[in-house]
Amino acid sequence: MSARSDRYEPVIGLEVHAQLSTRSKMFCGCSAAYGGEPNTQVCPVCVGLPGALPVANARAVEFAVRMGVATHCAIADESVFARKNYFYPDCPKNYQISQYDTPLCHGGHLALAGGRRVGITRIHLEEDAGKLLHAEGAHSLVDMNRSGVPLIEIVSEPDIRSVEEASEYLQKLRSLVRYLGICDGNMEEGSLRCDVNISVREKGSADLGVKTEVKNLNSFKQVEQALAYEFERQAGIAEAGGAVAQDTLLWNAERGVAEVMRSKEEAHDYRYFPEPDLLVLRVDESLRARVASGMPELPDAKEARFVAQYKLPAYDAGVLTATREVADYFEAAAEAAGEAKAASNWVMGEVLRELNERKIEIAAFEVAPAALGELIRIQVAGKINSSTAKEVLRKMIATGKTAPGIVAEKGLEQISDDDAIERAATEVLDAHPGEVSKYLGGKEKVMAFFVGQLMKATRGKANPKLATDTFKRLLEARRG
Amino acid sequence: MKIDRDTIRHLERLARIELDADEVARITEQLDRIVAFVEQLQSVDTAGVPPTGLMSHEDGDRLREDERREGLPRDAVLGQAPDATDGYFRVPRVIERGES
Amino acid sequence: MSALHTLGVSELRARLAAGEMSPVDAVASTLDAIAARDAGVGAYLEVFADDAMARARALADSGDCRKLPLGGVPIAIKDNICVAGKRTTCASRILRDYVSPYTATAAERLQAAGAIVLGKTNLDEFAMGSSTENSALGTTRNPWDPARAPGGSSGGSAAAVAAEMAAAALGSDTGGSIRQPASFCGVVGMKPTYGRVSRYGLVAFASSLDQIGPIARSVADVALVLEAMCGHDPRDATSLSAPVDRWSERLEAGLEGMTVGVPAAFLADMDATVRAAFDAALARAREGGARIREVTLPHAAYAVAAYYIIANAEASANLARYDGVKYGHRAVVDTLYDMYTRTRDQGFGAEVKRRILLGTYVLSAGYYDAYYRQAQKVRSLIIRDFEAVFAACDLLMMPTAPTPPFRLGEKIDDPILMYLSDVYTIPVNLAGLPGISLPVGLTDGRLPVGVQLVGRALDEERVLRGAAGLERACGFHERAIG
Repeated sequence: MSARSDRYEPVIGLEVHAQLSTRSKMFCGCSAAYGGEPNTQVCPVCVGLPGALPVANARAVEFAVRMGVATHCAIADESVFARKNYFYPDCPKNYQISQYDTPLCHGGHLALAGGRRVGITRIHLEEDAGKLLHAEGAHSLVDMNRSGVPLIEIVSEPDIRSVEEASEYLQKLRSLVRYLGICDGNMEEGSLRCDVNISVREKGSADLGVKTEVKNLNSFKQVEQALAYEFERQAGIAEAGGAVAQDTLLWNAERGVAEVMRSKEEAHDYRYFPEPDLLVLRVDESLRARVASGMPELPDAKEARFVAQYKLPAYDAGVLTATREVADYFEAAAEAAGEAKAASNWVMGEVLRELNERKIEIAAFEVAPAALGELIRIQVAGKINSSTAKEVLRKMIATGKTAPGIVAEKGLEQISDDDAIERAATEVLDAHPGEVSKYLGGKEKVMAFFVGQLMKATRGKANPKLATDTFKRLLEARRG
Repeated sequence: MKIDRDTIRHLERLARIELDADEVARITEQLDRIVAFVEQLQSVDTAGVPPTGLMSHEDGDRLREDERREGLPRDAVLGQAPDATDGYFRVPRVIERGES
Repeated sequence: MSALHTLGVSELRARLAAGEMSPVDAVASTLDAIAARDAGVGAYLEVFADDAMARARALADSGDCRKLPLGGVPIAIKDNICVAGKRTTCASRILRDYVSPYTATAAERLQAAGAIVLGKTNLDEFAMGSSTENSALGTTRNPWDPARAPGGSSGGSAAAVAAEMAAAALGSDTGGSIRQPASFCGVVGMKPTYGRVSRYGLVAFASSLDQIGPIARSVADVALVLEAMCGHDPRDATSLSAPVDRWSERLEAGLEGMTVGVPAAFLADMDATVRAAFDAALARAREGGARIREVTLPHAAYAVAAYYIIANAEASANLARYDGVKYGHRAVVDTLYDMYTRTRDQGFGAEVKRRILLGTYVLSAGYYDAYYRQAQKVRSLIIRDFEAVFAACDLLMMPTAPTPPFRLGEKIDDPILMYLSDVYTIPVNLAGLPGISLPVGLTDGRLPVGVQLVGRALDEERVLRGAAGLERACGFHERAIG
């Protein structure tokens, strides 16, 4: 890194908006689903027709409380919705119903690896705006399908001290909302959005510098790039003895720069006041109990348990618990196989590779965990070697048949019969007297050639270890 | 004078209303008098009095179940739009991105 | 012309239920009255003659007319209440051609009860006003004297009922907009407890104050219409679950045994003619069995100021949606910013603009605590004042308006003077209490004077019962317009 990062450190806070995966919108019964034809998921409420009124979605409240509990926040017994007033074409009422003075959750934290904690100032409920498209020419287009979809806004304390930490925080947040089943965490589709606040200061200082806000970040990569860019820019200004302006910036992904937003008017005065169309939002005992009893094992706890219970290294446990679905798959496969380490290798290796290549989720993977477990059992028992096993998996995916079935049908069982191996190995040595001399002359690498020939002759079914041992014995015998 | 031309200009911006030149002076003066009128509230002792933000004579949940209900067909929504095309509302081009 | 249009709701229902007449006759007679009289009154912005007759015929054919509680009753609806497929203009240029795709819950319930909507009535633009002079779409005159205002903002509804161009009408009341025009037009008008009637489909002015309510020519009629509309609506989170009773069947006992409070100090500034009528009504109330006692409302004098801050703050946000993007008027200009500002300047009248700017001001940075928050606290004090009164009384009695109906043009140039005509009605909205206005007498110049009865939250029964008693005792009914 540059010398700047020796002298300066970034002070970073993230504001994350997560779209809640409810069936209907925050304040009306329109579908909250993504991707519909424009303006087909609308009603008087979410288009802001005269006379329409909002009514809050109970499940959205429950989802928000789940997130608050999972991040150790205090959940307000009573909170209030507020109108945030500003004019914009994607904002049908020209105010957004949000929360201001009294957020639903506050005072929580998210733990990063190594014990560092990032404070969570608040989590509150609000409604999303519609979508604005900038057509060619002199117009912009508005689609109100997204208007009114429930959001939670998660505001972190400025506790983050590096781009890597910011990335980790965001990844953990994403993993958490997916674990909780409240949001699908897709930055590219916009169900997870992130704005960053960043200032810089000399290392060791406790002061807070002037911060800038960067918006329009549409992927994890862009978050990292924007933070790195801003850090360099602000540190450069500090080095030169200048002052950073408190700007709001838009990230320009094409050019890789953050540009100051040009606005006609000054900073927004949102004129917040309590939303008179909605009454006090109460979180009662029964809701708290429902959330508590429905809380799944959270990622950090699951990771720790995998290390302890399955004796896996921390790295493996981390990979396996990245999503709840993969973690569940692993555990089912491990139980079916009776072998946690082997199951871990298989899931982290072959299975995740399949998912990544084909860009599918594990729910779409053709091989059930029990079936994978069966395959693992056969391999561990020595009936097939590892390259055969990979073959079998591919056939399982293609045909849906079981591992034992495929092995039997194709006669893939590993040859571990001593006599058969000895006969085949003897044939190989007899056929290649030159190589035998080379080996006996000291070229140990020739062993790989012999094993390869044996594999060819047995159509890959020879037990490799047994083959190697047998060759060694036979060759020694020929020395004398 | 609490409400002057600068205040009015600021309020016009916030409220997105551009007053006609002949109206501005009159409305400025009227608003100034109205604000002076409501100033009387300053003389009420409200120490320790909670503000009434929401009006309700009943306690109780006012949430709705997360169920889908039929909305409006697109024609009903776009049919009266001053300008619409291809299923979208159309407005003069937005120069920069607004709030997230 | 048959005289069916002169019948009130109760009478019409009695005859319709007995099969003595057809809803077609009632509607036809009322439409004739409109044709004959409305040119001189200007109550209606739009009359749905064909629709109304078609509905009347359908109702007659279905045979349901007898058993539906309001079957065949011709009603008018204030044009800030949505009816599907019809224009809802709010008497504003900005919505002059706007057609609502849905019907307000209150109107839906009345239609389900068999009422027949004759048309939409005039109002002050977006319900902001006390004389209906702020309408951008026409002038409404007081049927008692065409040089005078019908009151506002529900002036069209009140005038329609007074001139027998509807058996009943819906209005809306935020600071007195049902009660004051009812008083000016010599009819009965009620604002229910906040939350009794769904606001879904009422174009919002001030969300924590607005209520839809009935206007008719007798207390019994008002009760019948109110019963048919009240009740929880899942589409309005502020609507109440409290059960709705058949208040119209509980009016007999009148004022007997009731303790009625009068806040004399607060009423000191009423006009001499109003005072004469009010004192006479007090005497009638005593004769009717009420016990009168003096009470105080120490903070009521601040109600108008608190109201103008709170109502206009809410209104500034409620009217932000009128921007030319989705519906309504749009100014044809090049930039988005100009589109907003020119649309709203062209579309809104002066009073609406004043109120939006004031509301924006009191919420703006640096002023919120001094104005808005302070006003909310004063509102709490006013609520407490009423609670103290109703610990000792069943009802509160006040004049509805401090003056008899004023002349058109008399107050329109002085906003504050106009605001003060709501001095006795506004406190009731701030506290969300039920209040009714009924005519009790005439001035020497034959102008109607109304008196207000206010009750505890959710105590519609006592308010209506007491009003029925006062109505009987004062005998105003006999003096309707010919």
